[in-house]
Amino acid sequence: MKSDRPFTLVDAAKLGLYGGISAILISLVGMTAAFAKTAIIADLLTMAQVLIYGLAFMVGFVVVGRAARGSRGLALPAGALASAVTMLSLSLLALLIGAVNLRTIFTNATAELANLILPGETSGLAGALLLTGAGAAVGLVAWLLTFVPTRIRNGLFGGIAAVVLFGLMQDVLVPILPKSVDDFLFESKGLTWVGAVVVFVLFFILSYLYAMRSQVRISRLDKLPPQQRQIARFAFTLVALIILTLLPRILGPFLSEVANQVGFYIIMALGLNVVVGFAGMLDLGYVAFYAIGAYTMAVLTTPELPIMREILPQLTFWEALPFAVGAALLAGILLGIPVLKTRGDYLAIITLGFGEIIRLLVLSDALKPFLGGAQGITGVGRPKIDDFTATNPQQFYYLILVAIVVAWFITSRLKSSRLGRSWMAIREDEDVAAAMSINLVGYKLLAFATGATLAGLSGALFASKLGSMVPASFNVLVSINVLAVLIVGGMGSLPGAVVGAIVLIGLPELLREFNEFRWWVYGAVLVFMMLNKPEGLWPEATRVRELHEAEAEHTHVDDDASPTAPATA
Amino acid sequence: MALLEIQNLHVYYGQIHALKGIDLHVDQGEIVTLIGGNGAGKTTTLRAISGLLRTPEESKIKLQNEELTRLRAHHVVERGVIHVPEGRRVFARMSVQENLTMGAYARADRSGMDGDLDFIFQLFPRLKERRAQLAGTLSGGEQQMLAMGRALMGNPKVLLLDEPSMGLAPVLVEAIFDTIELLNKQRGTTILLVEQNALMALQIASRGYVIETGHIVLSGDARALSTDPRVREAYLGG
Repeated sequence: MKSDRPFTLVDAAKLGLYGGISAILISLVGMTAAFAKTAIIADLLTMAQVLIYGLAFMVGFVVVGRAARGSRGLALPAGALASAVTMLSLSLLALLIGAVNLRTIFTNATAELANLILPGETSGLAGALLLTGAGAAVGLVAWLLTFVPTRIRNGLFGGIAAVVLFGLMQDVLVPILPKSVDDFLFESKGLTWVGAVVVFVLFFILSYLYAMRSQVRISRLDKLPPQQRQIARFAFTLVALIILTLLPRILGPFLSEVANQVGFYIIMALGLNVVVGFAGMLDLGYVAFYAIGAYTMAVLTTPELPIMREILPQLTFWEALPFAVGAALLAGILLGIPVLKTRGDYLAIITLGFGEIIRLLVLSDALKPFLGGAQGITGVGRPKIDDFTATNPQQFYYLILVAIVVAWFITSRLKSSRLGRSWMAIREDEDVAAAMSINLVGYKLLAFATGATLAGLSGALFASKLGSMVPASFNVLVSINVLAVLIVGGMGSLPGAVVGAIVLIGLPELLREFNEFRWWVYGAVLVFMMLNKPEGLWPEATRVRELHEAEAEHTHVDDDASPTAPATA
Repeated sequence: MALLEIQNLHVYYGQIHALKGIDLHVDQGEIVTLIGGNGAGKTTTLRAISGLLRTPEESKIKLQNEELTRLRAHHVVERGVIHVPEGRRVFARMSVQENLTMGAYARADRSGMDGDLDFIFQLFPRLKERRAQLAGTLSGGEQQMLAMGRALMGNPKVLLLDEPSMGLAPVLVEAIFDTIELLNKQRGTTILLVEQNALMALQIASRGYVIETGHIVLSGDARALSTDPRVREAYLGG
């Protein structure tokens, strides 16, 4: 939509129709019906309403912005029209459900859905008209918002987002917060309306202050002399570590469990980041090394599997850990040697195959006496120091935290080393890297082995934490997930790996309501990210520079054909 | 004695016999050019010399009588044979300065490196102006300069230049060739230059070889070649 053609009401209606199609889709896959049961504010607002009216609002807001670029007079009618069209499409669906039986194709197209879509107690044509009118009103609100200063608008959005999040995460928040706060904020289902107002005002102020302060603070930190900046950074790290140490106490068992799950993915993402982000080798079978670490840990520490116990002594967790990590490292090198002569797509396919081979091996009946087959292995050893054995998620948290710190330290040191720069050169152009005297095979192998080692570490901890495991935990989706974590966080960036894991692994666990539609949302988030923020949430400095400098410089590339006379010295 | 000597060089791409026994030599301080049409085997020759391609037993590539034939690419660079690949392949996501630093990857002497960096910035003042800029955002001519500068950072005994004129405006081609000549005169850098632009190449070279479908068909003094009727007809447009 970057053409010079002026924005017309037809364009507005078209965008409104896109919104309508999305709303119909959301309803037909069953999201509307499922979320109608999720109260955000008790007896007042459900998640389904947030979804539908939010969609209409977004359409209106986008259209108002585009129309206003042409003429300000067009903005209001265009916005109102677009939002109304969105709602009209949805009410047509409701009417259609009333008239025709769609259930043979769309199982979710029930009369109940039609009732949910149409507001209040209305039905039929009157309801459809009312909903369309509500759409126009939403468009009007979107138009009004353009006159509000940006900072206040961000505050409003922040407040609303906080209310929705609080409502969605009621089950998670209630056990953490003190009882008196709970009673004040929440009813049995949803926020009390007083609670909603309090949350809204609180977060309105917070986001308002944040918008005001964020720029000031960054420039101040930059202005500090290097020594003080180092102190500031050290203090920041210290505070972060203290918070991280206290976290399981604050979070309680359920959230600690989620944090552990995120932790496993952070370790894997840091490892895969070396392979894909630093050295540019697309590895789709990364789960194999995770499985090898997990299975080595399980096989060496379990009291079951009598055949294995005859061959090998039963080890404790600590004794088995180096073997588990070592096995993954060895597997990384063994797979690396034949595979590294291939590039790009071919490498991706070979590693994909390797991942499946490992999964099928541990699943196979032939190896059942050694690896447990489809039933998996139980009784995996737990970490034990003196008389203390880590069993619950809150205790495991610390072990995982230490592993993350180690993984972070290793990969961050590697990144800024000579080795890291060699990987970067290989990622950019293998031939030229070779022409710069970089040993391609050796360095690619090192990247592969480093990645495999960290996956093995993550797998070993995973097996021990679970206490038992089945081959199904090691399907190809794990590889894809880790890759998605890197893409969303920012390829090649260490903080990106952490942020990506929190967003893609942690959030879905917290937003249990979405669980049924997890992959649906997941796909939508990935598409959105790739279109709007291809460099990731917390990108590497180079990537930002590349994407933004390239845009800025693009105008003059290749047009400066002025002769560059060699200097005469 | 020849600095770089190639005897009976064969290269196979699967079933295709791309080089059918090339013999050529480059003496210390010379610019030698290898000219020929599309698909004649020019680039293949350079890739074989720098170790990016495998060659069969009977082929011999020697630098100062030391055998390079079986060495892998990164070892060849360490011996001082540095390849500037076709199409200006700079590390697009690194800055100009970082690209140049990558060129010195195989070196240990820091002092010599700083001197070379000064020399390169003197040779290509444009690179100095743009040292903090990402290489991918440079113009075509600047990228070619960067690719050459990067190779010079490795302190080459022999510089292998693959089609430095490719895709550049005529006025830039002239500037690049002037620089190549200057480099050879000032530093005595030995250069093996592969070019389609035969006329320009023969003007700055002392000797030349003409390659056709994997064979050397003509060789000799550059001036003599540029007036040779067969060369004129085939490569210089009559």
